[in-house]
Amino acid sequence: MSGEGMERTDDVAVVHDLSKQYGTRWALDEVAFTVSQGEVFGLLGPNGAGKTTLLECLTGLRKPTSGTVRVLGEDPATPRSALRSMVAVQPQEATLFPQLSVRETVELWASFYPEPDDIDDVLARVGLLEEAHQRVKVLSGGQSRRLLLAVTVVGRPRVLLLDEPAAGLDPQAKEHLWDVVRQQRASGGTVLLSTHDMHEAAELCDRVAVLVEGRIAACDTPGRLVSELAALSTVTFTAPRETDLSAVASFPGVTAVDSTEVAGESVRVRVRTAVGDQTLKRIAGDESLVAADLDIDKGGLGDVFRSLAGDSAQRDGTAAQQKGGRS
Amino acid sequence: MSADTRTRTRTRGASPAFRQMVRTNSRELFRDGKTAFFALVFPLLFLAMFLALGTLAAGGTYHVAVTGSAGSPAVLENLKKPDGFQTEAWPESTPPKPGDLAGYDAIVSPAGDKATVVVDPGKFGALKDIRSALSSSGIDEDHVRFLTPDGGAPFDPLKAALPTGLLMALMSVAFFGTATPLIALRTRGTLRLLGTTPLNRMTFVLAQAPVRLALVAVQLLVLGTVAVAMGFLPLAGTLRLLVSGFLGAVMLFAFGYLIAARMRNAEVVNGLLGLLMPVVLFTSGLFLPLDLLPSVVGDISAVLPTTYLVDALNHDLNEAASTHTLLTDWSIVLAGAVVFGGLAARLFRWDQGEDR
Repeated sequence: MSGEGMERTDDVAVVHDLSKQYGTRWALDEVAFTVSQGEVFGLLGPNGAGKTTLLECLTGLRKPTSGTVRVLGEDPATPRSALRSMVAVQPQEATLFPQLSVRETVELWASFYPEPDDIDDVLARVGLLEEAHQRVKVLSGGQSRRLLLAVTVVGRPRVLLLDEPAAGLDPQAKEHLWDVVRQQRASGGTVLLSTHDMHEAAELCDRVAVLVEGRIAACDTPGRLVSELAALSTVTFTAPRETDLSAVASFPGVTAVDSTEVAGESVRVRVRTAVGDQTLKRIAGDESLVAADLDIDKGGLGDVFRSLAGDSAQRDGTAAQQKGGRS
Repeated sequence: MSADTRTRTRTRGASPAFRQMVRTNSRELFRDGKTAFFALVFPLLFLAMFLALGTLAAGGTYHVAVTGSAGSPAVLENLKKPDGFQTEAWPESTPPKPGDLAGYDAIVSPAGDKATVVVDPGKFGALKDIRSALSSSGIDEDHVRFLTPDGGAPFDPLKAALPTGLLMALMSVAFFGTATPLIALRTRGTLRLLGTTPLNRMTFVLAQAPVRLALVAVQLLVLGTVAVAMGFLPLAGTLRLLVSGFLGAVMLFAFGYLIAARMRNAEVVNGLLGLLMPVVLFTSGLFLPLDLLPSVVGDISAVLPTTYLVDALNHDLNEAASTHTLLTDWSIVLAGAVVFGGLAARLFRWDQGEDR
């Protein structure tokens, strides 16, 4: 890949005060972020949060109601064709030519780009080498998604825009996808992807923007998001059935206690707490509890996500009815 | 990627995208049996059907008179044979007045190895039997003039079958072989995806043409061969027929693109186009002569460019029935192609035309 333009700026995508309105509903509300060269940037959010709309504004498929979007310094809604060869898009749903074979499809896409990748190499990377001669119309859902990924990367774009690339993939296919994303970063390229899989976001992304109801609720590295926002830890332990758990609920920081009966005379107790380590020590030290099998889960992006979504729902109680439409 | 891969891709030619799109189009068209059927087999079946109908179009009762003396007895005898024919010798001593059928449906006037036949425009069903009766009396059909009383040409269902078949063939390729697959690509999101690639819109549109023009060439070849074999078309006329057919194909393709420019539902469009085909044939005077239809049909016919395409085809395939000069026909068909094509290029959308 040529290095032209790379010296100019490290900012690959700049989104400034982007809003998008569908009818009376705001799908995006003053969204702003910057993605740098070589970054894997994740858009995390529930269905209907605005992830697809945001990606479509970045690809030029939709025009913002207000605000600006720049990809490699250009407005994607009115791009030069050069931008099209540097930015590749994998939509959530798209059917390719049903009568072509897998290989013919990748060859077709390769012909659109000035310096395409080797066809076999691309097929191997997405795990479709064995299906190379099959017609597109007979591919399974997961195989079709992999073929979409193949046509996205075959032109060796500088920027990959992937809309829920992992949807419908089995674990092995996910590994292929992750490899492709990591290779893109390793070769100096940039990836923007949307997902609602916390694990995937934490595993793949350098930075994650949590999108809730069209707004960016938080934007940081997965690690920092977890340490700052995963306020609650979960401590679990096993105790005899007759144990009085009311004392546990009064420990400092504890917000909820529940128990389920397990085999024999025991119960498994889950304690939600804002101060995980302290609570763990109190439980371990309390002889009346006879606690065994102690465990602590410090939460993850999932908790971050739930707490952000919860905050937002409380803040916009009145806006909650404005559901539906595209994500 | 390795340096040699890059060199290889660079030396592949000026526009690999165009070549790949041309290949893709022919694969999509021919591997999908349905499209190939509607574009190629279907129109040929129609042609065969129309020819068969034209051949069978006899029936009815015809009151025929035969004039003259030399060679007349044989003609008279042969014209008495077909079912429904009541044929007699012209009873007057003076020849019939031009433009007056004197109560007969047709007056046949043989003169040596030639003949003139004046026929009531509504009795075109008699033409086939008259033609074969004259042929078996030694008068070749190239030497027979068919006229209506006002000096025009009678409608001949057998000859009308050829432009009908050709028009059906061209419309099939333009509608079911071009518009429908394009709309399907839009419905399924393929066009939207292509719109995000560096593929040029013009490359995409132009790459549709080669395989479809090849199909049209095959259709013209088949039709032309049939027409020449049946003696309807002198070999010299094939070139003009090719020009008419080619111009018509371009106009109908442009119309197909126009339909495909924005529409999203292939099923609805298929239904509408299927309905449009007989309407076009009807308003072009291919089912029945326009004189026999209400004048409103004639008014509609006069503003449809397809009418002029049929008229151009009539010059060669059904020569007597043309009402305009070939130049007028070609100009109007070309103008139609430019208008449809211009509108299509202006309106064509990669995406589904959703709120942007």
